[in-house]
Amino acid sequence: MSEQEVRESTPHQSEFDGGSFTIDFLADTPSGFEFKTRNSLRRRQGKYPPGTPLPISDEQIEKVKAGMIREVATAKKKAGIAGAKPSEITPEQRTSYMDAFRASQKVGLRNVAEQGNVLSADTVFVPFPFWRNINKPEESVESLEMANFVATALILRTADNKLVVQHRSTANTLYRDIPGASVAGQFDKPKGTPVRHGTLPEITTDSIKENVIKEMEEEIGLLPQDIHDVRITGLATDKVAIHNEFLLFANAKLTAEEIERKAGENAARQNKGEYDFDEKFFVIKGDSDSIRKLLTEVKCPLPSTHTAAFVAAWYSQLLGQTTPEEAKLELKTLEEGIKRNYQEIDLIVHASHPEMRGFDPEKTPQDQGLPDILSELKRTGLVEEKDQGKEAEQMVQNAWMFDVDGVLNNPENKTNIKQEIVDQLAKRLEAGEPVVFVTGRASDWFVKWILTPLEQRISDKKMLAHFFLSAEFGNVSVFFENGELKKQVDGKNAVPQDITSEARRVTESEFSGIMSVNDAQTFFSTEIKDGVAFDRFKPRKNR
Amino acid sequence: MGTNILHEGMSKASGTAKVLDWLNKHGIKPELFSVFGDSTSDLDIGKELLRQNLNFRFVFVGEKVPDNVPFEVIQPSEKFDKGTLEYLNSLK
Repeated sequence: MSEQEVRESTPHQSEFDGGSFTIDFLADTPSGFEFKTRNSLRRRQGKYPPGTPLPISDEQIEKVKAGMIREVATAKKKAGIAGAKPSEITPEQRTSYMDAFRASQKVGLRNVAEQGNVLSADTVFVPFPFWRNINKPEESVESLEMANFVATALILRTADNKLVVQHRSTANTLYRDIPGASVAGQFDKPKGTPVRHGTLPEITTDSIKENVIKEMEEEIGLLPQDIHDVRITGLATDKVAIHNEFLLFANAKLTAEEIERKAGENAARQNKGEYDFDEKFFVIKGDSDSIRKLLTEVKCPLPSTHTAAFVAAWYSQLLGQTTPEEAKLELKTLEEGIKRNYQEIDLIVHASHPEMRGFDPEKTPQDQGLPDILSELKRTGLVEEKDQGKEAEQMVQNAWMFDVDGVLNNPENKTNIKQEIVDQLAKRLEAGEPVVFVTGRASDWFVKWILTPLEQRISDKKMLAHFFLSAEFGNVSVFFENGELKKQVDGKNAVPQDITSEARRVTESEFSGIMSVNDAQTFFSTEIKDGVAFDRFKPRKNR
Repeated sequence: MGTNILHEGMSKASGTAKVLDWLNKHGIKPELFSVFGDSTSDLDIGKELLRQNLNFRFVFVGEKVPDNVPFEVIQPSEKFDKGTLEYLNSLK
C-alpha cells in the first residue's frame, strides 16, 4: 500500500470503550497478535514536504524546540560529555550519547489494521518533546498525528498465580503514586538499520516484546529467562494524554516472593530520569474477581492504558476457560464497571477541586481528594491481611543514623556545621541510602542549620526521598513527599503546657546567663548557651 | 548539654522506633545500620535496634563510653563532629 492509500484507510471501531481509553484491537486467541510493519514512514509522513510548515502552532514549536534542547543536554550528561569539545569526545562516549539520544525518539503507529491474528501498521519515529507538548484531545487531529507515539504495558502473572501491580512512584512525572501495569514504558526507537533513510528500523513482534522486556529488566530486575509465553494481547488508545499502547501478557517462572527478592536487589540503586519509572510493586490474586475489584472499585486509578492491559490480560485468560461468546459478555460487564468507576473518580476530584474536570495522573491522588493506594488496597481486600500496608521490600546495603548534637557539630559551637559533614551526608543520600536523624532537638533548628545546607548541596532533589528526621524524641517527623518538605507532629506524648511554662519561667529568671530554652513543640528543653564554657556551667548544674 | 522534661517513655528509643516505622512503611530494608552517638542517651538507639533484632554498628564519638553497654562500640580517636568525619572518611 502506498502512503496515500494508507491514509485513506477506514477508521476502526474499538472493541472496548473504557471511557478514558479504548482497546482498539483485542486478541481473540490466547497466543495473541503478531505485528508487521507495513510502511516505515519518514517524519513528515509524506504529507508535509520539506520547506512546508508542520501543522503545529508557533507556541507549540517553541515548546518542542525547548524540549529538544533538554533532550540533547540530558543525553550529553548521561554520556559524560556535557561541556566537552568535539575533539575531546571518545568513540565510546559518542556511542553512549547516541544511545541516550535514541531513547528520546519514540515509535509511532499510523493506520493500524487487523487481519486474522496479525496487526499491521505504518511506523514513524516521534521525538518525545512533540508528544510531551501535544497530547490533549482538544489539539488538532493533524498535530496529534505528528505527536502520537506508542508505549508498551505488560501484565505479569507469577508462578503462584498472582498478578504484579506496580505502585508508581511519587517522583514519577507522568503517573504519580498510583497503581499500574506490572511493567510499562515508552517504545524507544530500536537499534538497527532504518528501512530507508529517515525512517525507523522494521518494527516486529519481537521488537515490541524486546522493548517491554528491557523495561522489565530496568524496573523490577527480571531477566528474559525469568518469563515465558510473552504475547501481545491488544492495542489501546489513551484518550486523555493521547497515545497508543501495546498490551502484553506474560507468565513468570518465579513466585511472587522470588520476584520481590529480585526486585529488591534491583532497586538497590538505579538513578533514573524524570520520565523513567523507579517503582515498587505489590501482588494481587490472579483470579477474575481480584482484577475486577482493581479495575472497577479502587478509587486510586490506574493509568487508563494500564487498565487496558489488565483488561486484555484478563480476557486472554478467559479465552482459555470459556467460549468466545461468554467471554465477550463478561467483557461488556467489565467495560461498564470500569467506565462507572472512572466517572465516580472524576466526580470525587471535581467535588474536591471544582476547577478540575477530572482525575489528572500527573498529580497525586491525595492532592485531588482521592484516597491513597494502600488504604484502597485495604478497603477492597485486594491484598492479604499479612501484606497490608507493605510493599515489595527494597534492600539497601546501608542506612546511616545520626544523633545531632555532638555528632554533627561540636557541643561548644553547635551551629557551626562543617561542610565536610554536609558533603558526607549528601554523598550517602545520592547513593540511594537512607540518611536519618534521631534527636531531641526541635525540627526548625535542624532544618535551618543542617537540612538547608544539605538541600543546597544535592542537585537531584529526588535523592532527598531517603531523608528522615525524627525530632523531639519521635514526636515530630520531617521528610520529603513528592519533593516537598513535610512535617508531622504527634501530640499524644506532649508534655502539658503548664509544666513547660513553669520550667521556662525558672530557666529564664535564674539561669538566663548560661542556659537558653529551645523551641520544642512537645516537651520542655533547655541547653547550655553557645560559647559558655563547661567549667562555668558545672557549679550551677550541681546546685 | 542541657535539661529536658519529657513525657514518660520518650527517649532516643522512641525516636528510633519512628524511623523504623518510616523505613518499614516504605519497604526499605537496610542490611546494616551505622549509628553515630555521643552520649548515654544515644545508646538507646542501639538498644532499640538490638530489641528489633536489626544488624548495626555503633560509633561513639563522645568523651567516654559508658560502662556496661550491651553491644560493641566503635570509638574513633577524634571526638564529636571530628570523630564522625574520621569514621566516615575511613570507609571506602
